[in-house]
Amino acid sequence: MRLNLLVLSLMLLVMIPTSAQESITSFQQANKAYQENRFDDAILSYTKIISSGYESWEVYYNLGNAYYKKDEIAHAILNLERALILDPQNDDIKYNLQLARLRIVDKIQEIPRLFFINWLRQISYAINIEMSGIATLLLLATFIATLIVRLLKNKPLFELKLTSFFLLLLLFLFSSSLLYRIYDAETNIHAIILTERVDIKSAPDDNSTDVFTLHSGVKVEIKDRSVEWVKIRLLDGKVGWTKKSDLEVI
Amino acid sequence: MVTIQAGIMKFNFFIIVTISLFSFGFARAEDLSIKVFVDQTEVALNQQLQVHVELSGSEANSAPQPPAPELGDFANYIGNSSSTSMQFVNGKMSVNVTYTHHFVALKEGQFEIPSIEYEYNGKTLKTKPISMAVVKGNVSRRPSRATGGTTQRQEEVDLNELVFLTAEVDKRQAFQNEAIIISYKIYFALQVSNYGIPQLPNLVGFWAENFELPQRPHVTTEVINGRQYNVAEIKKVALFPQGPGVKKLEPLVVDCEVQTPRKRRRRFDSFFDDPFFGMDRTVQHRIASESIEIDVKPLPENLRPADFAGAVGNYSISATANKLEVKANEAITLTLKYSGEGNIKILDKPNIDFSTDFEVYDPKVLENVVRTGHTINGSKSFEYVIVPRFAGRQQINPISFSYFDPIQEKYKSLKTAPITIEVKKGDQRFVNAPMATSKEEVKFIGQDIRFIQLNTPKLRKKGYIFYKGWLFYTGLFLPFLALVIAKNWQNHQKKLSSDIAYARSRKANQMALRQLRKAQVQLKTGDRANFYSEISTALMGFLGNKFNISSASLMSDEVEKIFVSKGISREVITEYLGCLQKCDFQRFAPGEANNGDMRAFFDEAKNAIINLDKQL
Repeated sequence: MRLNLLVLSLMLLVMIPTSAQESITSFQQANKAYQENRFDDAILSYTKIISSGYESWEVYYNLGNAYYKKDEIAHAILNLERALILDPQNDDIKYNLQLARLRIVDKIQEIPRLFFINWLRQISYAINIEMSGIATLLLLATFIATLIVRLLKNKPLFELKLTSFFLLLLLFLFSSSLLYRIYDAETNIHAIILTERVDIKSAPDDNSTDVFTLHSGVKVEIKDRSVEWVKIRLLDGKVGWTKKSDLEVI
Repeated sequence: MVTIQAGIMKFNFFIIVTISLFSFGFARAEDLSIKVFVDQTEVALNQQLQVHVELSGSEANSAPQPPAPELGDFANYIGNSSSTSMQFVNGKMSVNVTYTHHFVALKEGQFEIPSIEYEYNGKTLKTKPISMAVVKGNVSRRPSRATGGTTQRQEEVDLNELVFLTAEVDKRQAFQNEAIIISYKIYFALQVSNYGIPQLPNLVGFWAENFELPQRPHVTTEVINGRQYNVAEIKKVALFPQGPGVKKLEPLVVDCEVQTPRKRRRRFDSFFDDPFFGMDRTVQHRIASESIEIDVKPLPENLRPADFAGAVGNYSISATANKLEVKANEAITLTLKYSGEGNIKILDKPNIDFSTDFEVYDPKVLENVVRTGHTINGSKSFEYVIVPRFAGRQQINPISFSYFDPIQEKYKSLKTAPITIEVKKGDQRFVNAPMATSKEEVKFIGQDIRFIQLNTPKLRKKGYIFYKGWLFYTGLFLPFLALVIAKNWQNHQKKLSSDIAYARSRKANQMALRQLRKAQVQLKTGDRANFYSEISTALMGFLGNKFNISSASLMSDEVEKIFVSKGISREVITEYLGCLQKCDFQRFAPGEANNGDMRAFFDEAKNAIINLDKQL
């Protein structure tokens, strides 16, 4: 009973209803502008929602689309990537992101991952992170509840039974998926290059040699930061330094 | 054997004379004989010499040409000519074929013209070797063994003095690839009507660049040894030595037609008196320049720039772009121009590090070599057509070029200024989209993005990360907390059911409280006997439960013993026992119930229980 209450409050927190009715109004205004091909107005209104402290995948997705229509591909990719984080299985986001990526200059071949890591990623990203979090907590609560019941009935705590095995397996799957997602989110910070053309340097110094050149819209991984510079790593493994002002974290 | 065969020749007059005077080596087959003879046995260095090989006999005409004599290092072969003459002696025809081989003497010293072996009709004919000397300086062409003086010989000497060829070089020592200017000049005191270069000297190891000279050479005059010469520069060459070492420049050979004035000669041969008597004659005269040695020094190794590619001379470099602001996909012409003195032709395509954003086409190469001045100079430009594919600020990095300055004997490096090109976005929207590269991508071509989401979104606070919130942690730890609580409770239950003493002691307080509450009821009704009885039961029951003994068997001295054994302090014992005694006394004592006393006692008994409980 107590557990159910916890889950309920957790879910309520995740889907917190906004009191800011203005944001909804802005969203509708932006959609209207978009439909009337006033993309500048649409971008302005969508951005207003985000700068007032709210977000949702729809806002990022629509904003990304508006940038795409304005031919600002780097910003389109940035916002579509943000939308994809909030809803990793959304087909529309994936499709538009794929189209946008076709329009950028640098074609970077991702280093293929080991097959089982790919599986793990696919499983982990099958549902969004909140859902796997709730599932993990629910399964944990259920599992411990069965333990308590057994305890109170003075039965041995652990017993080989198909249901408890199944429960443990599920718990393991969800919790490892959650852990992987948390690990991924905390260690792999990605960013999109926004400057049209950047010479990537070998060291955080203007006078160091150029290692390669990137163009706007490329997704990079941030490996290290200093005051003014960031160390980036491309999906194909190339590493270099660039100014913070040239990119924006997703 | 010396044979005098004057008067049978029709060709070159001075040769005839010398042939008739000096002929060495004679071999006779049945009807074919071969002999080798020279005009003179002593020649000056770099002067021409002629070796004649003569076949005579009725079949001389059809016999194959005998091989040329080998002179080895001493002389350089220039070419040959031949002449034929026929003679009827006593009704018998004899034919003479003379092959004349021209050489230029290259080396001082004594040498020998080896014998020639000539096979004809199964017979081997052999000539005698002739010893020769090459000496420095001018050799009097007057033969030392002349048997008959002729004015004709005198005229020949004159011809070599009157018409000669010189080669002037501006330096004898040069660096590799440094320009050496050679000027060939004809000095002539006689009139030269025509000249030709039969064969250009072989310039192995040099890159030659001919200067442009006027079609009709400009003639100046110069006085040498008291004689006035006309001087005409007929050839001027810039040579660029390709490798270090001592290089030998072969002499230039020039054939010229010299107008020789008529001269009164003593009659020499009555048969062959001069048919051209009284006229100027045109004589074919072959002249050659000296061979020249040039010491070519290698370019210094130290301080050689990394990008040095062999250019020697004096250069400048410039890079220009025709536009500095373009839209993407508009062509720009980048011109890189080298100009200066030196071997411009060998300048190679520069290595320009273009950004990968440019599409670069092969450069158009324009060469402009000026060959008319004192040096070879000019310019070479490379015109690159480059097309920026993407918008952004593009830079063409400085282009470096190094050359060796032979005058200062130093390497010099030049660099062009960087060129910044501002590339704006192209007009057409999709023009700069790179082509799809995979099959997978092809299906997206021409597709538009999917439409925006119109449903009202479920907005949430930005930057909210659920796994960092307190709810997540609560949800995570609460089940474990519940488990711990459950475990403790279960332990407690177990102890209650298995340990009577523990159970009784746990119950003692509750029982005492319940008993005291009953007493409180009696207090209100004022039933004194029952009140004290209930208090007594509460006190005794509490003791019994706490120490797990039967309360019925308790006597006050026994109670005291138990108290002492449990280490209870004396005041508490006294207080507790006092209460018990008072109960026993009051229960059966006669008299009126005093409500105030009972209330005070109730508190007293309650305190005794609490104090005891504290000490346990």
